[in-house]
Amino acid sequence: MGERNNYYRKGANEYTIELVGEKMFLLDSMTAQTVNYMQLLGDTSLAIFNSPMNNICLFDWTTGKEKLKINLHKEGPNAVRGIRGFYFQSKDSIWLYNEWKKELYLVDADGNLKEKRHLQDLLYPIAKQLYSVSPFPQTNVPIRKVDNKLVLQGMNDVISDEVFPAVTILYDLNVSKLDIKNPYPAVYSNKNKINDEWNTFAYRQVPYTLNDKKEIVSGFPASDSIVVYNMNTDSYTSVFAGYSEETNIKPYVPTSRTATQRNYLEQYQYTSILYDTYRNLYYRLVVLPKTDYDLNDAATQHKDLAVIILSKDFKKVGEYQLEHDQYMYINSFVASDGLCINVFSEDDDYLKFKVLKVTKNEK
Amino acid sequence: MKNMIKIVFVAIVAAIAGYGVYTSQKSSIKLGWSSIEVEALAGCEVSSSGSSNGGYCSSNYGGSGDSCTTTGDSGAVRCSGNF
Repeated sequence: MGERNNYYRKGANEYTIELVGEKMFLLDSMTAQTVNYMQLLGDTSLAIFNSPMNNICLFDWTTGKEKLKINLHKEGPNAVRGIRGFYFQSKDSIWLYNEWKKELYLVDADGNLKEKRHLQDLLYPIAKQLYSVSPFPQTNVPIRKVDNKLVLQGMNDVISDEVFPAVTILYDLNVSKLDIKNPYPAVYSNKNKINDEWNTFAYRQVPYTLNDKKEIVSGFPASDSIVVYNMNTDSYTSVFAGYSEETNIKPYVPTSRTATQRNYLEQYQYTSILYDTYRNLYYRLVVLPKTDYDLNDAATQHKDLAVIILSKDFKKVGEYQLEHDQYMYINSFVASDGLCINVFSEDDDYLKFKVLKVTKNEK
Repeated sequence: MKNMIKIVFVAIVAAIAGYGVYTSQKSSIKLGWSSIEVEALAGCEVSSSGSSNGGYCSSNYGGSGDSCTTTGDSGAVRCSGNF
């Protein structure tokens, strides 16, 4: 496609990005900044999942102060454990997902269990399916709801000759049935070796975003292209959304943990894909390769990040490399303030974000 | 208390007899990264009953800690779930 065309890769230079500030959220003594699932609720609250304490903390987006904790039960008839992510259907109806058991739970604001759904029984290898999938919620792989369907995305589950690897479940809450969408694209080639050749959280875990046309836009980390799945027409479109340089992302077979780490550090990975409803733009984050590192010093292993900017029609309209920092890039989302990306805070009492504003270049 | 949470996150080898144990990490936690010197990965539960370790422990690149997933590469530390 256009992947070998340099002009296509560079795209138009219509937008740029500037750092406009930081947002800090004050954490109490029971809450650490090590969070892998958080969601912005409207434009008023940031909800984070505090895994060690099994609770959801809500912060005021403007002031950065905690305003509510939803405590989930660890024992008893309302116990819900092993939670990976959540979705606020309303303030008193919260869906939770246990990815190990492939179970959905509906709780109220007091953590009382209202419903439990077993997805495992509907999936391969228990059920006959063409595809094998294992949702794994993270901030940039959120649980979302479109009409009566929950969108759950992640990576492939166990593979055999009978199934193909895919990443998306559309679970119909009304009839308790699911459809599996988004098989891995051709770059992942050998399906029987997908687990060995593509590192779990570098390449197999697949971020996505939703736009206002009921389209699931997925960014497979090994692919220069994004895949747009339309829920209305049940159709796919692949669109180039790659970095300005050739990425040449290749599979490899891990011979050791050292080799795994080197492979991650020295290759590109595409990560978060985010739709900005305020500006009708998409942002695709790409993690850049690193060669000057010391495997014995974690501080030298922080990779740089660039942001690819796409128009609402998926045309590349900008690209910007961010200032070096320790980015927790799976925790990225769009607020009215701009593109927000979690960064490590030296003060452990705070959860910290960089806020980036996208501006149109003057002609 | 926040340091206690960190310690839990780093993990301590617990007991035995079919109960879940946590793998330990030698180096200090740097958010989102584990030194490759560590013998095993924090964040993944490892059962003393080997047959329970059907998962694969992988680093959460771009996030924090590690996670036990149902699929992974054949060289990954095996685990029984996430704590």
